[in-house]
Amino acid sequence: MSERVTALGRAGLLLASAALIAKLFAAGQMMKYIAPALDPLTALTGLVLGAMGAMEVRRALRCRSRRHSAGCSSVPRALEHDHGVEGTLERGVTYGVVLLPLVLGMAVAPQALGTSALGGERVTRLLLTFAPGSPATPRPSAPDEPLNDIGPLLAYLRRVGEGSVGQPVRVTGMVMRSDALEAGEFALLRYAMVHCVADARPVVLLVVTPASPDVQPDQWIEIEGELASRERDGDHLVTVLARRIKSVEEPRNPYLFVAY
Amino acid sequence: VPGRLNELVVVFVSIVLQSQPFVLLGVFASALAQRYLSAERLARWLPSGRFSVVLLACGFGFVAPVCDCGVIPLARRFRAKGLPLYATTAFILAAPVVNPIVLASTAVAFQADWTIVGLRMAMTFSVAMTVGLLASSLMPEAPPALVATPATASEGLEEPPRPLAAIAAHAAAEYVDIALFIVLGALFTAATQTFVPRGDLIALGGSRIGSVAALMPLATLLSICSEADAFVARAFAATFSTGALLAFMTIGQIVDLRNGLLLFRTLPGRLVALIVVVAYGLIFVEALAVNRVLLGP
Repeated sequence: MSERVTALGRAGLLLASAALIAKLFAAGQMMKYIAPALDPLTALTGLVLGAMGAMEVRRALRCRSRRHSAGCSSVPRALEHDHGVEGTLERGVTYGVVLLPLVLGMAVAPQALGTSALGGERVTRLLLTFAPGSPATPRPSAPDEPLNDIGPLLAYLRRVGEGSVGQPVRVTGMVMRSDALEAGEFALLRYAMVHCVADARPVVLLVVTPASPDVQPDQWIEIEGELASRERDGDHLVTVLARRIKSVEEPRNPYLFVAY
Repeated sequence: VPGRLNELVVVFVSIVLQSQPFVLLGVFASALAQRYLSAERLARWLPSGRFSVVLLACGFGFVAPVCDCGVIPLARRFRAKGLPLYATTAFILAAPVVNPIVLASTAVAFQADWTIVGLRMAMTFSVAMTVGLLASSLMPEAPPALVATPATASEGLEEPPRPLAAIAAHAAAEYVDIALFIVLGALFTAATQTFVPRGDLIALGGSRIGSVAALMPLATLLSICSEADAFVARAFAATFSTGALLAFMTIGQIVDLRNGLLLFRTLPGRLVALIVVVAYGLIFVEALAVNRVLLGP
């Protein structure tokens, strides 16, 4: 395979990678893959990939303008051999595989991870508990900001522990059902990520309702209620006593980005 | 897209996206080494004696803080410049953890618990040193890695290229070369995360031995970046023993699905097998010892 074709192939991959990053930012989909804290780094990566692709295009054009491809190479021959210029088939397979995530990223409208992503972990093991040593007799301690989602709620729980019992709360998440839960109970699931979806871990709250609500697994809902504590198997579970439950669309940003 | 397929695609694409900045860092470091580090200079810098060389390789992450995604390109270039295979291996194993960025992220995740930070570094260091020294004794004539023979920047050129163009061209070639293995590793990891049940594995967390035995393969399976895994480990802190958390953070950067193919591409198969056996054995024993010391008999 000629140096020119090799350079054009590399340029295509590099520019396609840059295009994927640009598309995900433009469509507001990047946060469904990567934590927003990494946005500057990801954007810089897109720019560098784009610049590298443009330089490879330029190199290919220089190759075309010369009779001998060796004259346009700025990569040592030893390295060229290292990178397998010899095999057209190998090169085709390589490019096909590397293009796969780029094509999928371009074509698929990503949705948040659902309950199936728990990989069989039991709901009862995932339920959020108050930290051991929380005060046995809860003392009201008002939050600095309204507890209008799970993120602020986690920050508040870290500060006051079981002293949060009785505070009004509004939380959004996905419905989880389990036979291990009692009548009138279900679990509310959100995922928290550090860098990307691959490291996402579940944050699961126990929800108690006066009557069995008409909600389905993986359905996004918003709950207004009051924080409570339920003892189960020696643990004190963070519990939401639901007053109102309504169905909502999947949030634009379905993940929590907290060091949970 | 149906639930499971959506999960597969989202995890797959996210791993590829997330690894790209770190891979770029690695390939540019490799390109700089290719251009500015001659084999003669490297030979002059290396101390005499295998122990000293392995020790230096294990600590080189403090000079070149690359994570597990970026370490391979740089290691390949060092190898091509004549760094002994056993030292290259020690560098690959140690650098993703024994570097200031990862140690800082571990400290943040564990709220400045310096015992955890120190033990994480020590356990990684011990595996890298052990494998490096064993490799230097067991396979001194091991075949070179699948990289080029030592090449200098001027080889194959009719005239010296402009530095920036040459570095960018090297980086592009290296990037495309390892992208295949990054993508295959990401696909394998995403498929495993999506389709392999791990509930029973995590259910073992109750006992000290069981918790270590459960979290080690989980770390291999999840293949989380070295700068993020401490935060995930902390999420397990309520369920698993301290030794298990340390084992999770150590083995996950040495034996993981995502970079496994790249490791096979870079090192001889026998050496990769040695890494897996030594890492799993040593980390398991060390984690149990940590549990005994920190949590009592």
